[in-house]
Amino acid sequence: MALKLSDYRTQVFNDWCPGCGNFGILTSLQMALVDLAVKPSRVVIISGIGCHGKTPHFVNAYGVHTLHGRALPFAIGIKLANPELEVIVHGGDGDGLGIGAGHFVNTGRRNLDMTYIIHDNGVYGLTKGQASPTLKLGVKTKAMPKPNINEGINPIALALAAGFTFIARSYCYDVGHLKETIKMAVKHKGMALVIVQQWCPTYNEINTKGWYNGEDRIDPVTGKPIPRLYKLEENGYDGVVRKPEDVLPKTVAALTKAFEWDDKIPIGVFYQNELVSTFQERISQRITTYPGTPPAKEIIADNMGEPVTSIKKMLDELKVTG
Amino acid sequence: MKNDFIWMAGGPQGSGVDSSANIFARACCYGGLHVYGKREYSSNIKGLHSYFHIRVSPSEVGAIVNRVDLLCTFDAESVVRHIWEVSPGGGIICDTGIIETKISSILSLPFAFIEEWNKSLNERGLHPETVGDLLDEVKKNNVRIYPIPYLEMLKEIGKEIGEEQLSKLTRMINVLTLGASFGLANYDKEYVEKAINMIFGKKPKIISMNLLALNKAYDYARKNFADAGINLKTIRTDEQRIFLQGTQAVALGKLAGGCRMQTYYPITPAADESEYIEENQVFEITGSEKTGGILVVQTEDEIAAITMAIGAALTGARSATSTSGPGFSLMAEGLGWAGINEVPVVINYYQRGGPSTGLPTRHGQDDLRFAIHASHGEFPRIIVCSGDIEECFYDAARAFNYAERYQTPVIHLIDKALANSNKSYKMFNPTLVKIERGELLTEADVVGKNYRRFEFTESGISPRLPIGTPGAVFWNTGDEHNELGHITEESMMRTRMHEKRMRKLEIADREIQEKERVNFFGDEDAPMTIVSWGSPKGAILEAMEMLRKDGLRMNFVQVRIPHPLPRKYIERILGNSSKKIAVEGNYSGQLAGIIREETGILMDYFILKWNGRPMSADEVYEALLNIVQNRAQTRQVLNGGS
Amino acid sequence: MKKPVVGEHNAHKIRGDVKPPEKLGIHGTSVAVDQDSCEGDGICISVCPVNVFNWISSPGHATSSKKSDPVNEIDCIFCRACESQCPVRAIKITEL
Repeated sequence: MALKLSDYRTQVFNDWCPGCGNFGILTSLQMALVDLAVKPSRVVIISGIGCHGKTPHFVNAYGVHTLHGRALPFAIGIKLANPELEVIVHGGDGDGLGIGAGHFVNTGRRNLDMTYIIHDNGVYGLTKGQASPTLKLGVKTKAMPKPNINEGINPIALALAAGFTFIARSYCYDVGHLKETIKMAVKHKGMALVIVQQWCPTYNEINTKGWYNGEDRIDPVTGKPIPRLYKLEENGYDGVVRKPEDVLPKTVAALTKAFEWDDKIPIGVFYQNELVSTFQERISQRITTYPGTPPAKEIIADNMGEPVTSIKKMLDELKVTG
Repeated sequence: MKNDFIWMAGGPQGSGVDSSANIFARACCYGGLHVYGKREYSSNIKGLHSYFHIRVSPSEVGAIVNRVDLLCTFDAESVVRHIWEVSPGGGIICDTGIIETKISSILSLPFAFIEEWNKSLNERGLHPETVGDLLDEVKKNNVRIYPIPYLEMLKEIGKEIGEEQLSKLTRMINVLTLGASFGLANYDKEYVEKAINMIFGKKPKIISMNLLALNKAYDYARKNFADAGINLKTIRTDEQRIFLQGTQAVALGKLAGGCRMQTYYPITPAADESEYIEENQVFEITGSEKTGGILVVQTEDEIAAITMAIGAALTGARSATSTSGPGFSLMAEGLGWAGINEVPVVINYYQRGGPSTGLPTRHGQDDLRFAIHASHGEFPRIIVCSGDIEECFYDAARAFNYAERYQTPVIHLIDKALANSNKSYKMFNPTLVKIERGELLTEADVVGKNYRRFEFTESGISPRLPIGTPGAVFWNTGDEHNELGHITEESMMRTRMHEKRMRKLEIADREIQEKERVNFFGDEDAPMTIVSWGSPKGAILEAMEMLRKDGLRMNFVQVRIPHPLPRKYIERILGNSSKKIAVEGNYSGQLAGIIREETGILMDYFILKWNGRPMSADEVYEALLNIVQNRAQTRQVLNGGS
Repeated sequence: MKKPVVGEHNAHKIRGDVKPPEKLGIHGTSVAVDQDSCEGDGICISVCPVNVFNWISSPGHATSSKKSDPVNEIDCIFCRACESQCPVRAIKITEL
């Protein structure tokens, strides 16, 4: 029987602020799962701490709501121990790029076959609106006593440097685009990152729906707003690496696009490279039984509770007499 | 005590102190002798002083004594550092080239050492200028000096093998001292050669060079110092024995116990364990043609190490992480998450001297209270403390059973003295390892039922289901949660859920057998009781044996699970004791404090040590004797070891 | 329980008593707008992030001559911004 959107919903009351960008991300995720037709018990949704952190509780799938900044290493543990599972990690911008920045970088270089979705709204919502690592220098949102004294991180550039092999950006309220982006990320063989530009209706009055839609800049000819967001794929951009010699030029192109902001904000796939071996493939080279019997599937004892791991070879190597 | 023999090698780090000690120890083991080895090194890669103590005995030994019978020095500093440790009748092997070396020219001696050194010289009324002056001084104590011309000998070897570059040859100074040692003892050379072959494994050229060096020095010693009178006789034995260090025993226990995921961030002295596991990550499966494997992941930090291990544990894999104090400090938050989510995860915690970076390569036993209390909030956990290398093996395996039975983190406390000491043991018995997975469900148990991960049950344990099991879903969260695992802040649910978790400690207290929680030694009716935990065990047992020979009886409670504390047992034993003595490698007597907190029983005496060196049998003996003879302060602080 | 469907327009269903122009009924299912309560405030149109609503004129209705109509009901992401901000509580969001 085909899965429906309601199969991925829980009864948990959703207490995000009305109008929160998270609703768009949640709905897109659930729609993507329907399209991907993956059973709830094969999906693990993992989150950190912050407003995004409640995401797993609203999705009818295995859900792991972890610690601030630590969603990725929890997820890596789950994925490595049971690579059959579809692991989708949610993080906030402060969660993933502030307190969890070390894990972000090191997850890139491992290239596990997982998906990481960053909810990027420029503020720490759940602690009432402090500047997050992606907020630009000099910007002052309403809860901040002074304008931002730090420059914002460019997560796409950082992801390129760290080695993510799928890097995309989408927008929380372009549900169709976001859904398709999540699907591509999940299907990607390797570590996928989706940065979702999101507004915070409560604490970020700068990067609002109107700002993204360009309502502050009306086209004098048409009299309509000129949207800030534009789609990479509709502008002839192709970030997919198909042969080894593509890596450098495509990286440079993606980096160039990563620095577009303010007037023109690209969404879509910046970079994709499936030529890089995944962490699971690298492990399989060392432990040939890994694909069939990863840690979660290994038998460790017989029916009587006797261990089946033979340490005889090691003990023999340590032997000095007898 | 004199039927044992204590050998020491000292030299700059990177000069092969470890390999010479390993060869020495193995050669003795091959000859049927028992060996206990203690390694001391600095937080440094090349140049600072390190040394290795090897105690050899016809019977099993579990501790070091602060005495050296034969000191092998690679350099002048080693002579200065250890000269007063050499026992009367003992000997020193040194380079003829350092006799004229001025002591003041040894730049690597730290200021704190020089201050103490000058003080001790003044006390002795000595004013040695050169190493030779110093050696002349100890000759008066009947210490024999065995000068060997290291460089000339190396040059000879160089000629024979066609190697002119002296710097390549000086790497063999360690083997020269080894050859001289065995020559002095007139020990069966065959065993030494076997040990060299074993240590230098796959490098035939190095093996032949070193064998040459061995023979040269051996013959030189036989020829020039034939009457050394060192007693190192081989013994025939059919017993199967192994020789290993604590980190290896832990690794073996974890593998046998079914650990399938190991995470770590490099830290001393824990990292050896993970590396040893990785070397052996593919193994045979008993009763199967297939092999098995354990994943070893080097993470970006200890926060990732614990959280990754927890993630793997959620899928049903037995998983663990291995660390030392600074790493465990970073793990505190993750530990609490495992606590509230009832995740069976094992942390093998190698203590070293703290706080902060403290003594990164030196021994300490000051983290018991931290292990019991780490992370905010209250949650159950089980602390297992091994007292020797063999216990490390069985405890490491058993830790997973506790973790899974009570669905809670288990901290296996080890210390540097166990991690980096080597000992010969009768072959371990892997068939004593049993696997108990607690209430673990499978797909068949949950399909069609509304599975609740944190269900309130009669047993007090909520049956566990691996994440990813078809036919169910559940949630985990670091927030307080309801039975399904969804966030709640409701007061009634909080009261019940927190109580459900906390009560698991009572269940564990009720169920875990006494024999797994304490070891008892000595006579129950002895008038004095020693209470300790961890590595002092070996020194205490030997000290008790020495006291018994003096006609003094004591008993000893070794606490192996201090949390939950075996309260009734301790009350019973200590209630009958007129003098209660805590022996611990820390300042405050942490276990004694916990016993006082939980039973109201106060210790009468404390024997404490925190100088970064393990307790030796002789210093524990002296301290206990002081107590017996009523001349002890309440607190005696030990400071042995250089 | 939802009232029986009595009609359909702009790709959504209409329920309840419908006698235009006095009685307009409830428009939409997952985004249900009670057009007889709607006072034509328009906050739902401005807050909706995915443009579910549009104006529809309702001459002759007692409360106002223009109403909000869930013309893109299918796009709703259930963020409840409209529901929470409607001054007369004329909108009810249901995840279907």
